[in-house]
Amino acid sequence: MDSIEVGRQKAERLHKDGVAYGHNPWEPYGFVCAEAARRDLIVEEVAKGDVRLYGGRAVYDADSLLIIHEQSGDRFTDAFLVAHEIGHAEFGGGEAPSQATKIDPLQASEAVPLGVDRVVDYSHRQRREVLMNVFAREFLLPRSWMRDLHLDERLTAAEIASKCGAPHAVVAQQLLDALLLPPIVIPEESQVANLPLTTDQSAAAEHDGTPLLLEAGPGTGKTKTLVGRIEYLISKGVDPASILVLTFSNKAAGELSERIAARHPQAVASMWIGTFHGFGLDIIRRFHDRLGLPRDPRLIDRTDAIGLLEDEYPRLGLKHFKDLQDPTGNLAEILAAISRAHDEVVDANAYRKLAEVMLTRAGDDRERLQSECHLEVAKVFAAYEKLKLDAGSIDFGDLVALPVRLLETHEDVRAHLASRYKHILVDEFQDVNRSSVRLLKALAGNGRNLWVVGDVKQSIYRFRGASSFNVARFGREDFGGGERRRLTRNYRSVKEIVDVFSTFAAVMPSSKDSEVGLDADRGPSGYEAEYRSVDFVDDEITAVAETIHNMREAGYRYRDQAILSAGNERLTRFADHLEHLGIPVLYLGSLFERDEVKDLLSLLSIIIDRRPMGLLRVAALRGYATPLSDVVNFLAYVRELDCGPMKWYAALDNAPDLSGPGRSALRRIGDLLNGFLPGSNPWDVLATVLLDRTRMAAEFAVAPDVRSKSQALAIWQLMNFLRVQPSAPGLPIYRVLERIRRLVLLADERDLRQLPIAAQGIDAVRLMTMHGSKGLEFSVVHIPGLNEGSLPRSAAAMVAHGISPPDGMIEGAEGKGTDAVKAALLEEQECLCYVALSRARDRLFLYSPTKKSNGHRCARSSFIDRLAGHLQVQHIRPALSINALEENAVPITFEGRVVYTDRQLSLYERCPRRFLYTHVLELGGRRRETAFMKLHVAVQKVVDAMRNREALTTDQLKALFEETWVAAGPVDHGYRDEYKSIAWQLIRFYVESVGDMRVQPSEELRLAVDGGEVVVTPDQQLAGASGQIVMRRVNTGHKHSKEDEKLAAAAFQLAATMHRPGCRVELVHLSDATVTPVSLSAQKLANRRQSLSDVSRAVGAGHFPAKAEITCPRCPSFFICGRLPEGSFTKKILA
Amino acid sequence: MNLNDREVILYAFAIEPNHDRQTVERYLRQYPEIAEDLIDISSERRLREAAWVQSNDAIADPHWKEAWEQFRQHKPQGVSSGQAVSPFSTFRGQAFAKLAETLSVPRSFLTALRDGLVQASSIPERFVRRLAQTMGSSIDSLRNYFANPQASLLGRAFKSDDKPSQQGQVTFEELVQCTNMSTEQRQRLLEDCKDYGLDRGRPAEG
Repeated sequence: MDSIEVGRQKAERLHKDGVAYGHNPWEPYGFVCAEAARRDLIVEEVAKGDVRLYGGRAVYDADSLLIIHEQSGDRFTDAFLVAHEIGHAEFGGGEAPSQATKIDPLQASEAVPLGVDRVVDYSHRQRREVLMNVFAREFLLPRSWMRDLHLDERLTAAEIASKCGAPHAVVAQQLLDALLLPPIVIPEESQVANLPLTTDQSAAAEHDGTPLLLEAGPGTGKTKTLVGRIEYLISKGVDPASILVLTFSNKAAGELSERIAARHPQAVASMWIGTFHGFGLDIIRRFHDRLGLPRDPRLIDRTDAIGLLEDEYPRLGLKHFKDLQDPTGNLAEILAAISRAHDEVVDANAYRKLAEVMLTRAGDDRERLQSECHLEVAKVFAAYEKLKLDAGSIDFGDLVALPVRLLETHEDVRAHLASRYKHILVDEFQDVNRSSVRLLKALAGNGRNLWVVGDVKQSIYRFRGASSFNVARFGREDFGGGERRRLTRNYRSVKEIVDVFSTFAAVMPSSKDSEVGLDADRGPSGYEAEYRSVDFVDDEITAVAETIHNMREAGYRYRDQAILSAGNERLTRFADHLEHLGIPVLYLGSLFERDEVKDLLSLLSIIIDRRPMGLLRVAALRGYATPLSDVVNFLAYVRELDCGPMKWYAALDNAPDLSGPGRSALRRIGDLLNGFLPGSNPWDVLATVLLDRTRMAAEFAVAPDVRSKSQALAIWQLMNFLRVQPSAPGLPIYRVLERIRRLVLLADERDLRQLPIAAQGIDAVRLMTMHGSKGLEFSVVHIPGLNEGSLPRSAAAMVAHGISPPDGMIEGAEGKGTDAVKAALLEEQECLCYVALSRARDRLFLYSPTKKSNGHRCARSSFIDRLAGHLQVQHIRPALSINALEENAVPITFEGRVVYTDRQLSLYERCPRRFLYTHVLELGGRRRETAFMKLHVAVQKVVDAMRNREALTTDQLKALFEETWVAAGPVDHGYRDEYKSIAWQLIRFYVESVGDMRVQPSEELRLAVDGGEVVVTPDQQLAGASGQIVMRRVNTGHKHSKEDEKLAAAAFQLAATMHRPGCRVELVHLSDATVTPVSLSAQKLANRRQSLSDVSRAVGAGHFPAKAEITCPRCPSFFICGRLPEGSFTKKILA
Repeated sequence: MNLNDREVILYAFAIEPNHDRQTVERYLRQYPEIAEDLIDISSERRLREAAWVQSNDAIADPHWKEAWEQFRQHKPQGVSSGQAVSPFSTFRGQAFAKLAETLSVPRSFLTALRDGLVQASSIPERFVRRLAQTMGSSIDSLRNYFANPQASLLGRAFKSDDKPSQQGQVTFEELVQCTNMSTEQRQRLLEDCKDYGLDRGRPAEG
C-alpha cells in the first residue's frame, strides 16, 4: 500500500500549495475548481447519467483539459469528484480518459483484514481508484490541517464539517487517521532490491522449457528473483495479460504488484496478480452459471457458517456431536474438518464414503466411534453444502475447491483459461495445499511455463493443508519433467546466524536428503548466537529485558529488536511485564480484550442495554469517575425502574442513595451518550464520542509514550473494523457486539492483531508470533520459551482438539488420518523454529527456564540441543526483577455472614470475577438469546413448577408444558417443532427418572462453613419404596466434566447427609439423560470442606480474580470485565 | 508519433477483421515503436475471436455476451485500416481548448462530438460547416467521422480487464439542452438546429 501513502502525502503537499496560492480550503468546491483552473483544466457539470460520463460519476479527459462531473446534489461530493479527477491528472499514466465510478469519500487506506477483504485485494486498477479516493479526501481535508484545527483551534469534527460543508463522517475519518496513527515515514527503496540479479538468480529467472521449482531459503532474494522472472517475461515480449502470479497473501500480491508497476506500469495493469483464493473467486464469478451460483455469490466466513448451521442443527439429529446447550463449539470443529476436506478436494459424498470404509474396517470400539463421528461430519457437510447453495453463498474453502472441480469437469472452461494464462508463477509454493496443486495442474497442463518458488523448511500452514508432499512430488508425479534450482547465498544474516539455522535444517524431516546449507554473503560478525538459560519463567522476562538494554547500548534501537514466540499467551505476558520494566513494546494482542477497546465497547453497550452494566466500566474512566457504591446503587435503581435503554438518564435526579460527585459523574456519562438511539450506528457513536464530545483522540495524539501510541492504534483498528460491518437486520450496535463475541470465541479476530502499516515508525520492541514473523527481518531477535513441551509441543496435545481427517482423505498420507495430522504438526513446529531463527540479521538470543515454579526440573527444547557447537551457552541470574501484576482486592464489606447457594458457589469456582458481577454487584446483563437458550429456559420453568408437587398425569404434564412453551419457548423459530420435541424429550426423561419413587417437599439445606454459610435447595426430594431418601439437583443442560466432584456437589452432599444421614445425592442432566450419584469419599469431603471455607474467606476478603477462559466471550460481563470504579461497597448478605 | 496517432493505429488494428499472423506482422513492420501494444491487443483479439467462433458458450457469462453484442454492433461499417484518422487528432490540450473557445461552445460539448456520443444525422449542417471551417478540415471528412464513431468510445474497451460497456448516443439538440452554457451560446446552437430544417421543439424561452 505504499503507493497509496505516497499519493496521500502528495495530496497533502498540493493542498498546502493551493492554500499558499490563496485558494480557500473552507470552500471545497471553489477550492478544487480554482485548483483545476491553475492546472489549465476546466470543470463542467452535467446531469447524472449524461452520456459524457460513460456510466461513471466523473471523467477526466487530458486531451480536452476537461473534468466533467455529475451534479450530485451535494457541493462537497461535487468537490470530491473533482478532486478525485485532479488526482488522475496529477498522477497521469492513463492514455485513455479516466472515469470514476466508485467514489468513496470514506475509502480506507488499509482494508480490514476480515471477511471478503481478506480474500479479495484490490486489483491494480481498483488500487488506482482507491488511491484517487484517498488522494481526493486528503486534497480537500488533509490530515495535517485537520490535526491543527482539532488540536490547536480546538474545533470538533462537527464544527469542521459544518464550516466546510463536508459530511461529518469524512471529517471524522480524516481526524481519526490524523490523530490516532503516527505519521508514516516512507522507507527508502531497499538497496538490495534494486541491485541486479546475481548469476544464480538470473539463471532461475530466465529458466525456459520445463516447469521450475526454485528452492529459495531465507534471505536469498526470493521476491527479487520472482520480480526478475516477471520482468524477463515482459522483456521477451510475453503478453502481460497471459501472466498469472499467485501468492498467499494480499500483502505479498500488493508488494509484487507495486514493484513491477514501478518499471512496467502498463504491463502490471493487465497481469493477474493475487492470491489463490482471489483468483478462485474470479473464476467462480466468471463461470457462476456453470456452478449453479448467482453472478456475485456471497462469501461467508466461519461465523456466518455457524449461524447457517445453528438454525439447521435440531434437524440434524446428531449423536456424537450433540450439544443441546450451545452447538457453536461442535459446529466450529466440524466446519474445520469440512474446510480440511476442501483442501483435499473431497466433497460431502466422498467424505461419507471414506467414513463408511473406515467403519467397515474398524477393529475396535474406539475406531468404530471415530468412524461414526466421521459419518456425522459427512451428514453436516452435506447439509451445509445444500444450505450454502440455497443461499447462493460460498465459503473460503470453496474458493479453490469449486474452481478445481469446474476445471476438471469442463474441458472448454479449462482450455479457455489454460490458453489465457500461458505463464503461471507461484510464490510460497511450500504453502500450497492439494486443491491448489490440482488447480495449477488443470491450468498449467504439462506445466512447461510453470515457475514456482518456495522453501519447504518454511512451511508453516500445515493446518491449512499445506504439505511437504506437494514439494516432494514436484517434477515427479506432479509436473513431470520439472526441474529444481536452488539459491544458495543468504544476503540477510551474518555467518554465525546462517550457520545456526542451516544446522537446524540439516535434520528437519521436511528437508531430509536435500542440500540445506547457505553461504553467508555478509560473512562472520564475531558474535555467536546465544542461548541463555534462567531459573524460572519470570526470570526469562527479565533476562530478555536486560539483553534488550544491552543491545540498545550496542546501538540497536528498540524497533530493531523483536521477540518471537510460538503462541500469543507468552507474548501477552511479556508485553505486560516489559512495559512495567520501562521497555516500550508494540503488541496489540487480542484487540477486543484490550482495556481501551473494552472501554469503548462498554460505552456502546450502554446505548442498547435496559440494564446498562457498561456504566460500571465507564465509571472507572478518568473524567467520569463515579464511586463504586454509587454505580452499584444506581444500577439497582435502574433495575427496579425496568425502563427502556438510556431512559435512566432522565431519571437520574430521582435516584436515591447517590453521592453528589457520583450523581454528576453519571450525568456526564449520560451527556456523553445523550441523543443516541438503540438503532444508532456504532462507528458514528464512537466517532462522535472521540472527536466531538470528548478530547480523547486529541489526548492520544499528543501523548508521547509508546503505550498511548499502542492504545491509539488499537482504537484506530477498532474504528476501522466498525466501519465495515456486514449488513443484516437488527440493531447495529447489538449486532456488532454479538459479532465480536463470536469472532473472539472462534479466534477469528486474529488478523486484527496485525499492526496497521503506520505503526512501523514507532520505536518499540516488536512482539509477534513466529507465524506472524514470516517474511520479516530484524537486527536482533529474541526467542524465549524454548522448553520441551512448548516448542515443539507434543503432537498428542495438539490433536486432542479437533477432528482428524478420515483415513485416506489426505493425498499422499498412508495409514491413519490422525497419524498424518500428527506428523504434519510436528513438521510444522520444526518449520516455525526455522522461520524464527532465520529472521535475525545480526544477533540471535534463545532463552528457556530450567525450573518449574514448584522447583521441579523443566527440560529445555530438543531444538536447542540440535544447535550444540553453534551457540554460546550461559546461565543467567538477572538483576532485574518483576512484580507480580496482581489484581487488587475489591474493597467490599459484607454485613453479616456471607451466605450463598450451591449454584452461586459453582459460579465462583468457574470464575470468581463473574461471581462478583453476577451475585455481589448483581449486574444481570444481556446475552444473545438463542433458540436453545429459550428451550432450556422453558424446560427449567417446567422443572421449577413441578418442584414439591405430586406426580402429574400425562395430560396435566402436557398442559403444563404447552403453557410454558408458549410463554418461554422459541416459538418464532422456523424449526420450533423440532425444538419442542427436544424439550419434550428432556421433560419426559425428567419424569421417567423418578420411576416409582414418591415426590416429597424438598427442604432448604444449610451448611455452615468458616466465614459463611451455603444454602442448597434440592430440585427434587424423592422417597423410594424402602424409605430411602434421594435428593436431586436437576440441570437441563449437559454435565461438565467431573461436575460430581466439584465444590457445589460436595456442598450438596455435605448438607444433604447432615440433614438426612444416609440419603442419596444425585445430579440429573436432562440433555445427557443421565443421573449421576454424588458420593465423594470422606477424605475428599474433608478437602472440599476446607476449600469451601477458603472460598468464603476469599469472598469476604474481596478476592475476585478473573479466570481467562476461551469461553469468556459467552459471559454477559465480557465487555466490562476488568477495571472497577474507585471506592468501597457494602453488601448485605448474598443468598 | 504522438499519443493520438498511436491510438488511431491501435484502433485501426483492433477492428481488423482478423488478427492472423500476416495482419500482426504487417502492423509490426509498419509501427515497430508500438509493438508491445499491438501484441497486447492481438492476443486479446485472437482469444476473443477464437472463443466466439468455437462456441457461443466458451465464455459462459451472459452479461459478457450482451456486452460483446453491443460491442459488435458498434463496429463501424466500411472502415478499413488507416482510414479512420480523426480530424480531432491535431486538437489536443490547449489546441482543443482554443477550438472550443473559437466555436464558443463548452469543452464538454465538443468532446461529446469528438467521442461519437452524438447521432450523426442530428448534427446540423450549419454547425458542421462552422466546425469544418474552424478546424480546417472538409465537411465530408467530418461527416464521415461523425458517422463512424470511434476514438475513445471503443478505445475504452481495449483494456483486457474491462468488459465493453453499453454507450448510448444523444441528438445534437439534446446535447445542447443538457450542457451548461450561456443563453447566447445556447441560442446560437439552437439556431443551427433550425437551419437544419428540423424544428424539434425549441425551448420555451427561445
